[in-house]
Amino acid sequence: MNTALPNAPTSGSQHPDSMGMWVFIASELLFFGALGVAYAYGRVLWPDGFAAASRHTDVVLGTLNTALLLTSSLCVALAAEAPWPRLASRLLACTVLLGLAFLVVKGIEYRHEWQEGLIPGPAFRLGDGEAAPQGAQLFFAFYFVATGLHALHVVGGMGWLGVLAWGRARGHARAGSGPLAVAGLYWHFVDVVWILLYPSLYLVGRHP
Amino acid sequence: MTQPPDPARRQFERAARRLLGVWLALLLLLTASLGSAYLRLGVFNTVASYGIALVKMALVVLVFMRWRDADAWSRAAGFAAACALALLAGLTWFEARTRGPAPVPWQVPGQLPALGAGVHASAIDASAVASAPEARPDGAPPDGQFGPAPVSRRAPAPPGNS
Amino acid sequence: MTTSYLTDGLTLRSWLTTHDHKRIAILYAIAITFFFFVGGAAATLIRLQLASPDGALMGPDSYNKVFTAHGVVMVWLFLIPSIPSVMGNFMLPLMIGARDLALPRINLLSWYLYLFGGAFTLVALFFGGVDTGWTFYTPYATMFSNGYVVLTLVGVFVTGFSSIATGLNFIVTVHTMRAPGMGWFRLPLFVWAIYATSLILVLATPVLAITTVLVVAERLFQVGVFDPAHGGDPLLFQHLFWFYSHPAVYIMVLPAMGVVSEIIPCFARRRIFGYRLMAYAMLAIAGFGFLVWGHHMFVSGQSVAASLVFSLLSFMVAVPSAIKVFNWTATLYKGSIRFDAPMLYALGFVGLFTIGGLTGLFLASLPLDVHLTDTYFVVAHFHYIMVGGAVMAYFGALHFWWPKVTGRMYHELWARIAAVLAFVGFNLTFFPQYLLGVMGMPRRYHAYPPEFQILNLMSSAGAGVLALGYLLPLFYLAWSLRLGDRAGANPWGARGLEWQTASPPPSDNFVHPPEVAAEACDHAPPSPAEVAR
Repeated sequence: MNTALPNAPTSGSQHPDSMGMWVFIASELLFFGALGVAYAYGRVLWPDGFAAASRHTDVVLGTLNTALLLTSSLCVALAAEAPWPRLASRLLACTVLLGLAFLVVKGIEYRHEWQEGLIPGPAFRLGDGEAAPQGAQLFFAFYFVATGLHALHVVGGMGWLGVLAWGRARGHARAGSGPLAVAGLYWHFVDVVWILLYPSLYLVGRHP
Repeated sequence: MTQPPDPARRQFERAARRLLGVWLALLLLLTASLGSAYLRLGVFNTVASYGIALVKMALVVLVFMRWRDADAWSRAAGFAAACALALLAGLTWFEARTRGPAPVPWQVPGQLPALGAGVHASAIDASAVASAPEARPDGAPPDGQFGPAPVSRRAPAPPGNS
Repeated sequence: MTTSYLTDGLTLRSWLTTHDHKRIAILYAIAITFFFFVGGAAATLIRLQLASPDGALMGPDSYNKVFTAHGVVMVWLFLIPSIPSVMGNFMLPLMIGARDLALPRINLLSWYLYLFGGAFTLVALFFGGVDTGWTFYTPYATMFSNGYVVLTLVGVFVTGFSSIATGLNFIVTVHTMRAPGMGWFRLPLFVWAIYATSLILVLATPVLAITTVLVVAERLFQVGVFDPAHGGDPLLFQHLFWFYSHPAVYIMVLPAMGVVSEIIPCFARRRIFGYRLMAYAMLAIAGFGFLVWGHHMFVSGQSVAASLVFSLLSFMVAVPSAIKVFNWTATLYKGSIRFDAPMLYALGFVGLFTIGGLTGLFLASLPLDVHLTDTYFVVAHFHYIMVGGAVMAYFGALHFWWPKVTGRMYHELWARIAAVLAFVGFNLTFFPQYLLGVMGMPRRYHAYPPEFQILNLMSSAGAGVLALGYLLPLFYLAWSLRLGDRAGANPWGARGLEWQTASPPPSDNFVHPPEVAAEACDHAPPSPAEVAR
């Protein structure tokens, strides 16, 4: 909500909040993108190490998580179109729950990885016995940084959408379709990041 | 609770069908990328997995994020970010690719040997490069001509701060 | 007397929860002044240390911590937010005829993020500091340094998001909040400068953010992204770091250029020469600035091919800056120049920025840079731009807009004395450093060979004069708040919508929302008869 009435947005047709979110998404594109550049650097340098390490990620849970996030994006997009406040609110609640499910699955994955000794550091080991190929630990460094940062963004989005879900059901002006669309943009972007993370982390070197 | 008028309801149903259709397409693409990863396609594994990811991304951006309804300046922001990222990636890649195995002519001698390719004698400073000390087996930097190597924090560090 | 933004709510709470861009600008001004003096204290220690060749004041480790503190505080906690977050915040809505920024609550969040980031950095300093240099090069920062690297980098990370939020706000504001009739090419050049700066803030700062995350991760978990023993590459850090940090110097200098483009036309009573070219040049600087980061890495082991490319691009990036210097000079031609304090600072900027920029070309030249890099030549170069340029412009802006912000006039004679002292002190401090660099004195060393002492002593003496030039404004500006003459709406007879409203402005900026007709923004200062004092 901008306080510039009666000097309300006079130039440009775009509402400031929506444009602000697109500009923020641009900055986030560079945030995750720079991480991607570092990842690509490592992958080009150590293709075998990255492939070997990627085989140790849980592709079933990773694929499940991708499906959960895609569905959550659907829910938020539907909520933005829904003219009924109660339906919109419920769809937003679904999004939040799907986000929670995503985090739970992620947590399970992290626990498995911790048990297998895949956390980078002095205790890192890949498989039993053989020495980890060069680059395997680097892969897992990216894995944890990228998914960790992504998960933090998911948590933030869940909080925001949760507040909107609550407000939409009560007909608050601040939870109207405009603010909902802005929050939706953010959530879809978080989904896009995951769409690009999925092949980078789970699908390297899967073939027999 | 008042019912919205029928046009609004019909509009929502149209929108919902479109969104559900895109969602199904996304799930199918997800299955395709998972499946293709298990086929032995060589470099096309990477091409396929990222290609499918880009298609999924395009669907989300175009349909869910309603890219075409966004302001021209908002879209310009996205393009600008993509260009800046391409710059970072491109020039960094260019620099990494054009590094030769030998040090550049003004590189101070006594550095670690180049990764992967072994030590190639530089035409200018063959003796210095040939006398570069071997890396220690535990991966720590060798003692150079500038004195003993500093202690890495990986070794049991003094009561440290981070 | 009508209420102004200053009297609209007198409690501390009204200030700390304000959405008013003018109050947020004041909050920023107080905070960055504090950090300026923290960084200045570190600079004082450096110059005291370097006054004698044997480094009697501090040992090498302490010296490393002091120059790191100086760099970190001055770059991230003073220079980057200075003109944008103080003058940009205050003036941007006024200049485009808006009531406030587009996203006022984000603006307040920006300030709090800045404070939190600054607090982390101060805590790190308090506990003993960091000795890596503000550039945090790996592998030293990740593997060997025993300072408070993580704490400092968390501070930098948080401050970075303050920058991004500010830049985002400014971009959205310029696009969506201009008054009717305020087309793009009627905008004051200061607005163009802030806009170009905001583009860099939004696009470059996130890369710094991820870089700090990776360094922290490597330090805490030994992940090896920058460690060759684990397949990483220290040069990757430098690519990521300088991709931000080179555009960062344009974040520091573009707003200063905008300020100078406001001051010179006003005090020369002339329209700015080549308005459109000036606007395009600023956009070009912002864009080109992203292409040249490798010139910081010529001796890092970067490939020769890439070094050549970066060298060429670095020569090209000087062109738009040179265009601006020519245009400022052309604006002065046949002007009737008044040497008020803001003008003294602006003229000082033009001269010192030119010298600093020219020495940048020395450094862009690959063979020269091999000898000059990591010497005092580099130190002198960037201080000419950042201190001789950006800080001078900050003080110029402070004096130029002081009547508007506070409704008071400062004491002109003292202001001119301070400006001259700053100029003389600055040159005495930093010109000898060019000579020291060419003679081979390395930077970041706590001691040096005795033959360099005379120049170092000159430099330290100059620093004392410079400090005096910076301290004086504290006194006469504070004095003016209580006892200065009350200022009218337009004491300088300047153009721009900000001068069409009261000094200090009301909370809503304009009593009647302005409409912009072409003549009002033709950037020629009104004749003396038009000036409403």
